[in-house]
Amino acid sequence: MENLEDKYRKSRLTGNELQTLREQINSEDEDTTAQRMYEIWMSEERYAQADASDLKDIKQKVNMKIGFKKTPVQYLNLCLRIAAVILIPVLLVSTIFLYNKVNTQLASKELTISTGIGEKAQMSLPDGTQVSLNGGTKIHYSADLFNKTVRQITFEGEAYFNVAKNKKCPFIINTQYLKIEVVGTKFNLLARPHDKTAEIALDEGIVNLTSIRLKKQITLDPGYKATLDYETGQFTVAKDIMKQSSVWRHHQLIFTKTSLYNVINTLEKNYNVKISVDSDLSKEDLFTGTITSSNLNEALEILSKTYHLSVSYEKNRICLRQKTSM
Amino acid sequence: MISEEQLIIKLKSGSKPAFDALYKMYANRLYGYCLQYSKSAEDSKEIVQNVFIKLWINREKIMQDKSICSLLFTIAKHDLINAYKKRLNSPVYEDYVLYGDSVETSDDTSCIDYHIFVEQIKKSLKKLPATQQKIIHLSRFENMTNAEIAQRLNLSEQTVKNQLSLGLKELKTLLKFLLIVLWLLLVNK
Repeated sequence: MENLEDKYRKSRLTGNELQTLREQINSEDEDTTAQRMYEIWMSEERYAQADASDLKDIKQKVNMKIGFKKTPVQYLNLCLRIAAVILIPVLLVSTIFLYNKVNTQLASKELTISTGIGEKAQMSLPDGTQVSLNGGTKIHYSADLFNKTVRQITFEGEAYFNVAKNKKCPFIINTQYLKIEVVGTKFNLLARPHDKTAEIALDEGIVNLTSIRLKKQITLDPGYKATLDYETGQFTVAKDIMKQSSVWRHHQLIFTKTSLYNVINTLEKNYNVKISVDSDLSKEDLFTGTITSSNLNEALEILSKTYHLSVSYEKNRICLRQKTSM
Repeated sequence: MISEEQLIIKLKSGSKPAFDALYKMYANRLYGYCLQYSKSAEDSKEIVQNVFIKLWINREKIMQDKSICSLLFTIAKHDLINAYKKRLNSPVYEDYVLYGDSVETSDDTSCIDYHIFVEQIKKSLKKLPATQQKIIHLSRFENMTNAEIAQRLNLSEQTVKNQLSLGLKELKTLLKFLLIVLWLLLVNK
């Protein structure tokens, strides 16, 4: 019996022997079998070395079952989760930090937009306000502060403003002598520092005007035009019947009983040229009409036809002369 | 080197390193021992695994203070005897032993291992017709009688008998070739 079992363990049984052993074991009391096996277990300590990976494999399964060390896959999973937990806030914080940093770098710049003489431009401010700039105009604002609590710009020249509505954030224009505060309106502003007056013509909404010299404030209604005298600091308000103030936007210069001197002056400014008039014509002669602001030849033709003048181009200037032969 | 006695004390108080050390001490011995009775790496792995899981779970109730050797056997006993009996009564194992007889080796070591034998049978089995495959599988691996197989597969007992003998004959031819090749490889090693 023990001999057969021994042969079985060493895989040396013959078919007949196997049959005998099988019958014996099947009919034997389990405790008897166990007792024999126990003695072998206790007496034989040396066994062929099993595959190290097999033993590791068993150990890993044991560890998993008893709740120690995860399998490599679960371990990796855990690592990924921890990495995600750590990295997501880091990414968020760094994104916000860099975004703000770049933003402030951009925003801390003071921005100036200007047009040359005879040049026109369209621009949008960060709040959506549309501004059409006439020639020789300068707008300056700090992108950092603009649109935070107030929308503040400094201004000189002439421009048509279409201010985006935002009641919480007033729009303030500072010029040398005039301060304008609005919420959302459309108006034309002419405030050139070398002129004698500033003009504001309101199309829509309401504007508050402050004369900086007198610290005097008035409110302007739509359809009215206010003129500020720089010297006295006084406002004059009149109904804007002709609506001429912003015609420059449509490439037109409108004159109503304007002295020829002033007409020539306006043309010079508009086209950035020098014009001299060599004629007996009184320069105080009054002119009423519309002249294009985008085509110098056409503008000169209108003047020459009206006053029977000949046009000649000399260096750096345009000469208008009385036609001699009729 | 900590003595087994100290390891047991530590294990009882829940020390994982002590458990690991005891595993190192006994795992190979237990595995080799199980293999001799079960003849199957799969069964042996499962027994060793369960023994150590149970050892950890019941660590606080360990009465032995000198050595856990006999305790390991007590834990393994039931599964081990089952695996032993399963193998003794398995037709495939008998086939294996009979095959060993037929090879008639004077040299014990040249006889191939049982698990290699099973592997080869399974491989060869796939080359047989589907019905024969099923019948042989049920007969050899599931220990079913011809009558049981006939009932399971909805065939007459005679058909099962015929197909089984046909299939086994074919299988033996296939196996002989494979095993001779294997045997040659082993002898030449």
